[in-house]
Amino acid sequence: MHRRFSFRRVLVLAANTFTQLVRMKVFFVLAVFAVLLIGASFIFAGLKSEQELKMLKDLCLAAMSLFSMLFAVAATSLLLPRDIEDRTLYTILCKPVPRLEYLLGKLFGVAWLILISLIVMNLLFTGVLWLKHHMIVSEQLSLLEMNRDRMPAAQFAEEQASIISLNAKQGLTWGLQAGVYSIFLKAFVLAGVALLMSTVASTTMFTIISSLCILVIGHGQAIAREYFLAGSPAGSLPNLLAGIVAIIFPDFRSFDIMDAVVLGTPVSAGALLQMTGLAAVYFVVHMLASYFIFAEKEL
Amino acid sequence: MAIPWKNAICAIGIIAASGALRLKPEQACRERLVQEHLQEPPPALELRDQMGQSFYLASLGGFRSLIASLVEVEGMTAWQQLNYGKVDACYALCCELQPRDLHYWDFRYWMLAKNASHYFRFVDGTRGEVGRAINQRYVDKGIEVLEKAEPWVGNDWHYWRTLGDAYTDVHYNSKLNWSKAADAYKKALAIPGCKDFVNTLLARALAQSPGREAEAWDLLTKMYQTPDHAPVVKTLLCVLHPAMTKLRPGTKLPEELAPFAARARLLWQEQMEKQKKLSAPRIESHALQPTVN
Repeated sequence: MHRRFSFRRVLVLAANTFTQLVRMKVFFVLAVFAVLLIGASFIFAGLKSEQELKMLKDLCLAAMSLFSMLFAVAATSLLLPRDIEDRTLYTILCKPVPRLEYLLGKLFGVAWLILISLIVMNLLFTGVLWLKHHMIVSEQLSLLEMNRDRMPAAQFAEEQASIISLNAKQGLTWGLQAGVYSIFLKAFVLAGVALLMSTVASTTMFTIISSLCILVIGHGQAIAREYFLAGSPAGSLPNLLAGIVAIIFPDFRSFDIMDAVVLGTPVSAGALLQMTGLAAVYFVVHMLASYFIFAEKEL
Repeated sequence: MAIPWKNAICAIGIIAASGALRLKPEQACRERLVQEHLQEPPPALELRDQMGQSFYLASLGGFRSLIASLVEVEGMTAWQQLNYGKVDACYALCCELQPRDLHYWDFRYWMLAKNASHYFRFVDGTRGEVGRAINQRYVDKGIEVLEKAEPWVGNDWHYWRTLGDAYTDVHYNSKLNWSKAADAYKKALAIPGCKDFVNTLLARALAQSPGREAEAWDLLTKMYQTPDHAPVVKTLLCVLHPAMTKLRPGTKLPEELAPFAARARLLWQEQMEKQKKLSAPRIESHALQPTVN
C-alpha cells in the first residue's frame, strides 16, 4: 500500500544523499582540520598555560564552525543542480515520491554529513585538548611537588587544588560539547536556508552567494530586531527596513555561544532547549517555503 | 524552470508570517543567553575602525574569542618591539571583545603599570627626567583600566586581589592607597574560593591605612590564633601595639612576642624607609603626554 508520506522513504533518500556527498570527497576537509589541530597544539606552547588551552579551543571551535557552515552551504547548493544534471531527479520524482519527501531527504542527508564530520572533528579536538590539559596540569603539579618541603601540608594541598581548579575551566567541560551542538544547529539552519535558495535558483553559484549573504545578514539580524522592537524615534523608514530584515532573515547569532564556552561558562539545559526549539522553527519554516516553491516548479 | 506565482506568494507569506511570530521568542532567547553570560552585546561600531572590516564581521559571526586571541598575539609582537601604544590598543580591543575574561584586563593593566612604566622610568634613556614622570601616568592608566573591569569580572576574587596589589605597588606606584587596597582585599575575601593568604594582604593594608589600626589589630589577633599564620602577622602586631594602647588602653601584646617587639619595630621602620624611597613621587611633567589613549 502506498502511503502519502513515508519517513522510511525520507531516510532512504537521506542515506542516498549522504553517499552521494561522501563520493564528492568532502571528508578530505577533515584532514585539513587534523593538520590544523596538531599545528595549533604546538605553536601556542610558549604561552601561559590557560592561554595556550584557550587558543587551542578558539582555533578548533572556529574551524569546526567554519567547516560545518561550508559543508552546509556547498553541499546543499550542489545537490539539486547535480540531480537535474544527472537526471536522477526525474528518476526519483517519476516514482510515487512526493516532492516534500525528496526535499526532506536531501536536507537530512546534508545534516547527517554535518553531524558525522562534527563528531569526528569533536573526537579529535577532545582527545588533543584532554592530552594537552593533562600534560600542563601534571607538569605544574610536578613543579609544585619539588617545592613540597618548603611549605606546610595545608598550603601544599591548597596550591594543588588551585592548580587543578585554575586549569579545569580551560580543560574539557560539558559546556564545550554544548558549544559543538550549537555549531551543528547553526549549520543545520544554514543548510535549510541553502535548500530554500536552491529551489529558487537556477545556478549553483547563485545559491552559494545568496546563502552566504543571508548568513552574514543573519548575524546582524539581532541588531535590526532590537532596533525594530524598540520603536526607534529616528523615523519610520529605518524602522521599517529594520523590521523587514528582522522578519525575513533568521537570527544566526542565537546559536553563537562559542565565545562563552571557551571561557568555561556553563550552559544551562534551558538555553540549549531554547536554541533547539528555535532551530526547529527555522527548519519547519524553511522546509514549508521550499516545498511551496518546489511543489509545482517546472523541472 | 518556472515557479507558479501563487506558490511563490505562499512561500513569501510563510516566511513573513513566521518572521512576525518569532520576533518575540527570538528576543527572549537572546535575552536568556545574555542573562546567562553566554553572549555579549554586539561590538560597538567604533570598533570596526580599530579592528578592520573583516575582523569586525567575523566578531559579529561568533568568532570574538578567536579574534581576541589573534589580537593578543599582535599585542605580544608589539610588546617585543617596545611599542607600548600599540600594546595598549591591542589589549583594549581584547577587553572589548571578551570583557568577561579577567586575563585580558589583568594583562592590559600589567603591560601599562609594570612593563610600560618600567620601560619609561628605567630603560628608555632618551627622555631623561620626563620619562620618569611618564611612569606614574602609565600606573594611573593601568589602575583606571582595572577599575573599569568591575562590572564584568567583579565576581572573581583574583580581580580584587590584583586591584588591591595595584593600589599598593611600592615599586612603581607613587600614589599608594592602602585604604582602597584594604577595601579591595575585603571584597576578594567575601567571594567564595578566595585563598587565605589574602587575609595577610588585608591585614598589611589595614595596618598601613591611617585610622584603621583597630580594624587591623582585630584581624591580626584573630590570625595569630591560627597555627599556619604568616610571619608578618607577628611583626604587624608588634608594630601596631603602641598605637593600640592609645586607642584602646589596656591592649596587650601576646606575651611570647614581647621580647621581639622592639627589634620587629626597628626592622619595620627600615622597611618603611625603603618603601618611601621606592615610591617617592617622580618629577611631574605636564609637557609630554603618554602615548596611551
